[in-house]
Amino acid sequence: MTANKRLKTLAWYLVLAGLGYLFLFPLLFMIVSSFKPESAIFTDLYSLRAILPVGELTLDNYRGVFEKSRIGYYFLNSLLITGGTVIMGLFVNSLLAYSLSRLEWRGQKLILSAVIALMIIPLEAVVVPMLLLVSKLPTLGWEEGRLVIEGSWMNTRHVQMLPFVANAFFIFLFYQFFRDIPKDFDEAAKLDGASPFQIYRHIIVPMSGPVFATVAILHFMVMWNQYLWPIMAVQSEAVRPVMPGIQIFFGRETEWGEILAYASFITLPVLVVFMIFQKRFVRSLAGAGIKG
Amino acid sequence: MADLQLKQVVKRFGEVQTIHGVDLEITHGEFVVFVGPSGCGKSTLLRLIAGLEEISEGDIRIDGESVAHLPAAQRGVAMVFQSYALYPHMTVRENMGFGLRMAKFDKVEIDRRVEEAAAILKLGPLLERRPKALSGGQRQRVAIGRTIVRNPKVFLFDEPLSNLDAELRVQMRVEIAKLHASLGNTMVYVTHDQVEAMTMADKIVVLRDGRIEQVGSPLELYLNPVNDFVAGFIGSPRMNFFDTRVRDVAEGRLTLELPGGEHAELEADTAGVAPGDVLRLGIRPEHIREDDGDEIGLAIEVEVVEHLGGSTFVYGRHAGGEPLTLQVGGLSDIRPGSGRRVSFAHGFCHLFDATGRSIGPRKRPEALKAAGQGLAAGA
Repeated sequence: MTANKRLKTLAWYLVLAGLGYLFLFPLLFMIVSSFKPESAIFTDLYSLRAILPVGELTLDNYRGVFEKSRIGYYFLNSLLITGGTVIMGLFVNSLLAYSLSRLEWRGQKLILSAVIALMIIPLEAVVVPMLLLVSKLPTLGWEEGRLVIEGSWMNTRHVQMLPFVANAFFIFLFYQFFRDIPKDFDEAAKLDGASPFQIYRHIIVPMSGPVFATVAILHFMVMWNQYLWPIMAVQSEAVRPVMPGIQIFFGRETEWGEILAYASFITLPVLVVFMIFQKRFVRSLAGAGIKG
Repeated sequence: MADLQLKQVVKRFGEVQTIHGVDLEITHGEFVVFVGPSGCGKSTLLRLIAGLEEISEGDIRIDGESVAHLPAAQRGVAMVFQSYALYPHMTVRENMGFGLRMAKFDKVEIDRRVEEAAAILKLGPLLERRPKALSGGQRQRVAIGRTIVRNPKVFLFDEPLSNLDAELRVQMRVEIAKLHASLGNTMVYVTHDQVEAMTMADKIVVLRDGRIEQVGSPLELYLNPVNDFVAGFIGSPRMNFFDTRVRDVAEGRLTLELPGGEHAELEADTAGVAPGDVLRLGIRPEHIREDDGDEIGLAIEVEVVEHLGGSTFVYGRHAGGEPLTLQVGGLSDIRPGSGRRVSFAHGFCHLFDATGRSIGPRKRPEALKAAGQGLAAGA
């Protein structure tokens, strides 16, 4: 390698390191600071120490988090809500996409257009009518050994799940992927005597691992990070997920150390899930790129 | 028994009609090849038989029973796809057994049938592999194996060899022919390759624009094509055609003026032919001699010569300006750029009227054989 070329490479690495730092800074700062006492967080803020685990390190913030909030309970709620929604979502969204991309029925194009149109409507735009709707929907419950019908979906886990199962963007992702699978497979299976659902179950789903992984990750993140909707639809602690749970630390005296500990703790699952599926996720996005 | 009948089968896609009232009888055990240029409707016809498309009108019968409105899986047909369509996430064994699994056969029976088919196709050692780990020829055999295990009445093949290289194609051609001989089932095979059609078929169905042009044995189609389309499609290299003018009409005989002014007398169906009419004369490249020794002579200007070793292709133009191809056995000393006289016998000529319909002369294999021996001796 010539000196010139080496210099160029070095320059590139510096630029990339700088950019990497820029993107990693908030995450590193959050995790590192969650182990520091309140005072150290602010004294370290304007030096490199802000992202380095140096000085006095303590688990006090985490202790505070577990003492002051029912984070374990919120965590469990979030797991149930997110897990349930993702599993239902994978089934429902892929099934509609399958029907849109591979079956023939009247009104198919209309539904596809509606799905695409729905992608551009943000949650914030429909959240108030949605709230009105769920407040009027009846819920079956079990109280003291008797079946009861309650007048509203508010303050339940399912109000946090069911409205988010079907998702236009995920339907579209599945649709794109399924459309590129050659129709010969369906036809071969049809001749083998498979019903449309059996073709979905035995042929299309096993061939679509990457897109299922992608949608699972994206849906997981959407659900785990739900904030606005739980604040509006859920007041009870019993069904509260992790994100709105952070609110209790914003009081008269805001404990930044504990907030960062809480934030680090609830970010962990997202990172873990991403790392597990990372390879497939990247492959799927690359594949989508090639296929256009 | 598995007779297959198509009765006035019509297929429309929206406004566009692609199959125009096709009638066809296929008897048990026949190997029938649908052949034609792309877009002629041969694959559509196969898909209609398979049940992958619904017919718009008419009827399809297998063993006398209408299957036109039965689901694909209940028709007793099995199909080998051009792309093979092997399920990539399943092993060879699972691929072959999938149809039986869907039909709720028990596992022991599935295994027995899969292994039996695997033995026929020499796939035994590959049963636990995925399609990705197989060569093109092996995949092809798995695709065939998948159809065998279902023990169908009719096998359907949709251009199954088009993804293979030339050598493998010849090999698989022989294997499929052997398979047909050993199973004895009715097979319908679609191809655009007339060599495949000629070598494999008991019966060839030539299609054009959704209509059957001619049905017959390979030799019948080669010897007595009903029109210039079939004549041009069957045979390789393609039949030569050129315009001739009718000089004189006698009962069953025509005197024709060839390009360059020479005359030739041919037997033909003379009904409706009058002096002055223009007819197309067809002559196959392999029936033209490179010298002047035969009955009808023609002067040509040689443009290109291809030496294949076993035979030589000579491309030239005759006095009328139209191209003419000769296939000469063995090596030839003809040089490009030279002019020469070539010739052919009356017995090898085909005549077509203005609509393209053949007007004779009709050929019998024995007669051509005798003439062919003469040709070989002269060459």
